[in-house]
Amino acid sequence: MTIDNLKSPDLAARPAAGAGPATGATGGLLSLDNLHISVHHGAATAIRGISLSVQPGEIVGLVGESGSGKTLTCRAALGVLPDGCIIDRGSITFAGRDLTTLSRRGWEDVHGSHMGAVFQDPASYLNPSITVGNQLAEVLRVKLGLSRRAARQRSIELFTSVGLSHPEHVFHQIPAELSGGMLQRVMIAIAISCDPQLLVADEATTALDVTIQAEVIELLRRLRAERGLAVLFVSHDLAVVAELCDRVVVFYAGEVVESGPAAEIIERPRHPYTQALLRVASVGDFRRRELQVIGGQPPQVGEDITGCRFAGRCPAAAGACRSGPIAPVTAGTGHEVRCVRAQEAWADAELAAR
Amino acid sequence: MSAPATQTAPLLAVESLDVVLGRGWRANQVLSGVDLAIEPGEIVGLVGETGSGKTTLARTVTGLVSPAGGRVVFEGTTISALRRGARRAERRRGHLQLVFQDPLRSLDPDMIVADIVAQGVRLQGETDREAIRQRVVGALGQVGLDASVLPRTPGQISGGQRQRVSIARALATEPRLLICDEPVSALDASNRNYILRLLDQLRTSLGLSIVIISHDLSSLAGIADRVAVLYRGRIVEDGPVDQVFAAPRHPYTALLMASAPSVRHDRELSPQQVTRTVAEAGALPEDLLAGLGGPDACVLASRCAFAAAACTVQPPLVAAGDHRRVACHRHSEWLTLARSRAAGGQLTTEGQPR
Amino acid sequence: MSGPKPRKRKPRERKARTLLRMPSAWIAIAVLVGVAVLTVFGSTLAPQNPLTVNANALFQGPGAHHLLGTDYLGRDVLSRLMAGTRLSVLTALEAVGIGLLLGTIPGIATVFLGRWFDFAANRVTDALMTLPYIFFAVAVTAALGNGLVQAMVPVGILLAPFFFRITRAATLEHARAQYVEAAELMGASKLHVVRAHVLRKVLPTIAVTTASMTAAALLAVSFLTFLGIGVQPPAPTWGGVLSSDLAYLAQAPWAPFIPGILIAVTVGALNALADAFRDRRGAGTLAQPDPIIRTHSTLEPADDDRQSQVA
Repeated sequence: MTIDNLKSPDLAARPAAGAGPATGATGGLLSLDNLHISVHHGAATAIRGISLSVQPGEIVGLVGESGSGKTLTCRAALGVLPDGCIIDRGSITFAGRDLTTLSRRGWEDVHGSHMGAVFQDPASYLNPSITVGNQLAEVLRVKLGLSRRAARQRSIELFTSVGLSHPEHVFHQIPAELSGGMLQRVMIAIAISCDPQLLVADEATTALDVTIQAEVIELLRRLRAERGLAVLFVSHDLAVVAELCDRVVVFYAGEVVESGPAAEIIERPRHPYTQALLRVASVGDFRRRELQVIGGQPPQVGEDITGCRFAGRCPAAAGACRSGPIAPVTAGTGHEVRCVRAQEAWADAELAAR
Repeated sequence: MSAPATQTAPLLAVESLDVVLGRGWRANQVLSGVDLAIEPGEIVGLVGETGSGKTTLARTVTGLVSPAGGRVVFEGTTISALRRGARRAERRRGHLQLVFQDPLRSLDPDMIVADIVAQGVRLQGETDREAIRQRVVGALGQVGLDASVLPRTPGQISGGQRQRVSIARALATEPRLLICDEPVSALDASNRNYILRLLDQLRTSLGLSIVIISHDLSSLAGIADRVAVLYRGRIVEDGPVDQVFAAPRHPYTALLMASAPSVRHDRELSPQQVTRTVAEAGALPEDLLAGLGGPDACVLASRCAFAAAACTVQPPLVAAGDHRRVACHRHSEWLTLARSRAAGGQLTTEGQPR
Repeated sequence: MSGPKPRKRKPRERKARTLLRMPSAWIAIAVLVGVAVLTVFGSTLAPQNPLTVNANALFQGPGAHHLLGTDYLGRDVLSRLMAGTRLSVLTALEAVGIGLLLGTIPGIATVFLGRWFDFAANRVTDALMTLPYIFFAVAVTAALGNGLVQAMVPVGILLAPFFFRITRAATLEHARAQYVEAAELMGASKLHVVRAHVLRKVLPTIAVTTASMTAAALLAVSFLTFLGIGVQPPAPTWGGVLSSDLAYLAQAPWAPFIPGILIAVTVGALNALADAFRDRRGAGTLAQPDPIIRTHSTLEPADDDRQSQVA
């Protein structure tokens, strides 16, 4: 089986928009329902009422500023919350299993075989003195019980499938000898080595050169096509999320402010924050133009705000925005917004002008 | 830059710069034959990925690294030939300033902002406290910071503010040319645009020239007048930004644009259309492949889908239109070939081996 | 864009406070304050004349009249130790002072003076470190005359290599910093760089080293006087008292413990202080990122966090 026999979806076509039912706890592979997480041993509530789901084979993007809660959400789903973080309310379900009450033994089973993860700086997740091949082979021996030879064989196959062009050579190299892009591919190989159903990628491409980033994004697409791998892709960069993801979940100050099919969110964003993100995002032609900013600062983590947490920076904030908690409303198939002014058309003209 | 009959000497002229780092068997030619001219009042973007030599270029221009060949001329003086006292005196003039990439490392964590920004002014010999203070406050004002940050240390202000303090330090000596090494890489989209806009305003209000060095296009988007693309130590293309991005003449530039993530999907080419696939590499005759991978070949030859026999020799940087230059043997033909290539599906060869 | 509120205390104050919070630091400081007081006022505070010989009260154990007993000449041990503090401590400080000057100045300079100077300085250091201090001290006192002050000079010279090495390592670390490059780009001379950036950061390391070396010097003094080098009897020194005690072990087996404990406690306090100093140095220089909120993002929100390198 050579690399060239593998097919990957045509770049131009996006997967069917109906890649899953609406957000919320309606099942699927991974499902977070009304999650509340507090940090610093309960001192501040960082995540407020997050609900999202990932269907099998779906690529879901979490986008938001640093501190918006997207990384914390990922960590909660992976069971690696830092000390002092408590899940106050809500549930995390993976393939029917409740992750909030999972034992250590349970997590050992889930990690690798059901959920894999890659993070931003691959070098810091690899032992600098052991060859990358051996690090992958070790995972295979431990988790799948493969023999030394079989593990080596499988490692080389995995390296090939993540696009490393001289896998036997790479097997014997230590992390310092590999570039950032190659290391990230190694990390992906390790993450998918035991055939998980879900891959969590937290800012996995942020530190990569742009050409390598494009290759890694293409790799993730291919892995989804070949293995039905679902991906939870976290990024601050809306452009990257727009490239890769079927659905987008927009985070702000610990809440989900908008979620829906990627194409729809990009064409018709309903939440002022999403609109602001679009205004500042990379447009792709790089000509001289007026650069936009989002004024103001996000609230402090856990800050108690009545009403919409974006109201302080929102150009359209009204009295109703500050009076009480804002419930999500539907704004299209599978498209939800947490904004009382979402239905109004004032934003459309502005966007069309862009 | 090809300026046929221009009479006024450019502000900065880099002429045939060769830079070798390391000694003996570890010696590595990081820059080869780099030619660049910066005129007063323009913003030039220098784009290069990891290993392109862009940071080395910044360090060589400012004199932290000595070139092995070629020279750097600033305001008529060959600064690359200056040493010791003469070099210090030239630096104290403060007309050429470098803004480093990471303010956490380039600002002394034990110094307060007032002293940091004043450092250049004091080195110029200014001793009057009131005069120093005025220049410091003035520089901070130009970047949008008020006097409240004066008594704070870098650890006590936010990242965006740190970057601005770093810029203010460079502005305090009233420079003519500002070289910014990755000024916005670590910032999110909104902060990035803010800083870029700020640099544009400074160019207009102070008549500054600015060189922005970055690894991706979005970091100079919107404000650069000209762009030079650096790959493996050579300039492969340069010219007015609108032209270069609308119609790139070099395959690598096209690759950068094809790879850059965008919320709009209107790019003409995909990365796969300009890079050589594994299958294609296999189809090339052995000696050609070896020649394309050799040290004298075009810097892109080992990845380029259009590499031919001529490409075993590095093409010179030649004029290709109005104020444009490109270093490619096939610059007039590859685009047609690219359009007819399949847009996706094949795996490309992995990036440069170490 | 406004930043977060400034911390309430300046960095220096916070460091001092953290230091004082550790119990080991408290005890160490208390011990050293006591020793310092004795250094200055030992002779006057001593209950009895340390030189008074009393043939009727030889080898007395601790009692009401002589709190720590008497020695082989009937002299009050407590008074001898109190009075002896000055000589022991001052000569130890003399040695440390010599080592400090001879070691730290080249240690800082070597980073800026080029490869050849560095090579030479390192070889000299290597050579000095091979010399055993006892023999060196004997040789010097033979040449310069027998006196404790003379005997501590070689000790000082032999402490210099440690100061040199440690200062050099600390300076190297700071001299390569990017803010130093930034200063150089603005035309700063090497001297300016040392004054403005390096010195302040190297000082804590020097302080820690000084505390440790003082302990070593004190031990050296004690040993030299124990061996009789540099001693001019009947002037009391800690090591001298210990030495004579050991000579008369049969008659007064408890006796050596007293000066021994005094030396050990003082040396221990110095080392504890050095440790406490070293431990608290890590905190409080730059704001630590909040590990919960800013886990792996290099990106900037409103607040600080670490940034990753982009080549």
